[in-house]
Amino acid sequence: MESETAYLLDFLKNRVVKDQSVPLSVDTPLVSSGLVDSFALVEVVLELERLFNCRLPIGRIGPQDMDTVAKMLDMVKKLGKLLVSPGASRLSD
Amino acid sequence: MKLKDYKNLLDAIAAAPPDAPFVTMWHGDQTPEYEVLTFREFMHLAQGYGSYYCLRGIRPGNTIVIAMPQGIPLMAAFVGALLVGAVPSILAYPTFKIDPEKYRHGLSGVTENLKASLVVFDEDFPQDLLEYLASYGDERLVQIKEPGAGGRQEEITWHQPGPDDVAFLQHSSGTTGLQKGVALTHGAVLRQLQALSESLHLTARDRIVSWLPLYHDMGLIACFILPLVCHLQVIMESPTYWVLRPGSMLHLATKFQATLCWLPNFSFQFLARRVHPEERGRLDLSSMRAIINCSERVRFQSMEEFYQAYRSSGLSRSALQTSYAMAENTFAVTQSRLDGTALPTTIWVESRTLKDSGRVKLVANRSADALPLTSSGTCLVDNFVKIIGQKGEPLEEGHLGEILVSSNSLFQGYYNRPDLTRKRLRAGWFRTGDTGLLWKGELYVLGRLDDLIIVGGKNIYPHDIEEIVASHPSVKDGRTVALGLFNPELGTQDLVIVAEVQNKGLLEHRLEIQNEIRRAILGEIGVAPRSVYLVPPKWIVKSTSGKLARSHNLEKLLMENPALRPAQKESASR
Repeated sequence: MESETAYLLDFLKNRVVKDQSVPLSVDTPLVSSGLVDSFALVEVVLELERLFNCRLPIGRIGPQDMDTVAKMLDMVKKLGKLLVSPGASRLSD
Repeated sequence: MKLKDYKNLLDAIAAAPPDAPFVTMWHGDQTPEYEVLTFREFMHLAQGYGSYYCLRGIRPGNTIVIAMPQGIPLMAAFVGALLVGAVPSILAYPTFKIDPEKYRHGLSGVTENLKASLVVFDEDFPQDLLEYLASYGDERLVQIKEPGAGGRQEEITWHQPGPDDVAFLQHSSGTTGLQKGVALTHGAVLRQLQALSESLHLTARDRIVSWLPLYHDMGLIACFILPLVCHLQVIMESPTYWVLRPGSMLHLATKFQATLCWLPNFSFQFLARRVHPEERGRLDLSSMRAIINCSERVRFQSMEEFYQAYRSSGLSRSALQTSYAMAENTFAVTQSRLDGTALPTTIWVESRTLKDSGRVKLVANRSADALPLTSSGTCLVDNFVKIIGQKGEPLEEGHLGEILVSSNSLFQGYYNRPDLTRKRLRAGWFRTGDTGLLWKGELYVLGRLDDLIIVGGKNIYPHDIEEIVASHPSVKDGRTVALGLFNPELGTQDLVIVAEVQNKGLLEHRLEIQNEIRRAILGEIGVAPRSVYLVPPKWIVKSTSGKLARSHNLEKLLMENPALRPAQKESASR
């Protein structure tokens, strides 16, 4: 999971927050702090689905489940529905 | 029978075929995935809420504030209020981002302004927030778990309002506590729906698909009251689902063969860019006869991008349409022609002439200084528009000025705010504050007289933001500007803040202060600023007019941050 965590932090910093000076950790509030606005969440959802080769159940997850990287990873583990293809094993890491 | 001949909305609703489907709610990946209610079932639920209000002693004319998430219970709680002659008003549901103190403050502001007799929450309203609100001893707060429980509906005589009775309140922009309630009568709403349904050439086969929030005029009137009163089916989802999975709306349109929907400009680009091309292959949008761009400035490029993305999904080019609407007119003032062939007119004008002398000079669309303006259409029946200059003088066609609106569906005034009403409503004409021009009988909306910022269809007054920022102890009082910068990536404006700190030394704590300001704005208005620029004392350009200062400060910001400038290119013409 470590490499995915680092990848996600990097993705958020470069593609979503787009501000190198903001320090991000797995526990940095993203949505509730205003660093990530709701229009950008769709990109985070797509990236999580791509990274873990899963589908996230909209309606059962909300922005509150994506407030920190730690919460995202937890949510993916609990609710992500694995897609049948190689690479799917990452969920159980 | 024509809609406008009904005495009130309830009589028009009662004429619906009882077993026809009214609302289909999509619940995302939950079980069941869909909830479908016929008109009969929906009205039964509404009566449950009505009988609850009766038991609580609600009388005709009392106002009821409803804070419930997007869904059928919210809609039924609203119609239940109409049934007892009460005046409902929908408030945005708190998100997890909301600061409880700010929410309480906003809520008490709204209930005070509206003199609310009851504030209705749903079963799932965050318990901690509810307890926090209740701790202030407000007996008007109620959480409805089982509408109708204990009430005997057969004994209730439902109210029979007249056409001039106020039906409901829509909220106009402003932070929660400062929102203005727009009072609309039964007659005004019916006349609007009559004119709108004629412009849209509505038939019983039409189906509406929507993710729009019901506290906004587009969601409330076009996607809830219109189908209810005109007896159409609406397929709905929550805005919070849509924002996470924007393609869901197009899947619903495909599955239910929807024919109509309304979207703010930014959604066209959002849908074009944030839906995977693979997903587009599973869509069939050939049933859509109108996707109406409304509530933000219409941008030619956004609609073109949407068309290019979905033409292979069966989208007809003539489905892309436009409208100009506002809560104060109930909803639409203009609508582009929907005859299945025509596109909204786009004219190419010389940008410099428009900017410098405020008039139209047509140019070839390939010339360097050409700017496309897309028409919002012509006036609905019994709706009128005029353009006035700075001294209030009427302007001729092709000249840019303020848009004034007059119609038979105009509001009565801002609820309990005669002071605000007097400023905006004079001799039957409503001063919109929007700038635009008429050209060959069609309306082109360009921008705002004030510095109103529109982020994703939501109106934000810079003054409200500046007050929030100024309350930060490190920020100098009165030395803050809130600006709207057009973001071509999103097709809407970004909110950008420039704030002077008390002393230069504070800039060392930049990140901390930026975060606190961001959090405060988000907690109060629910919109995150794109950037917060902290600047040393004396940075901000002062002028006697706040409006001038904002544009000067914007220029200064762009000079110092050239990277922001490309994003500004298109909005420079506003």
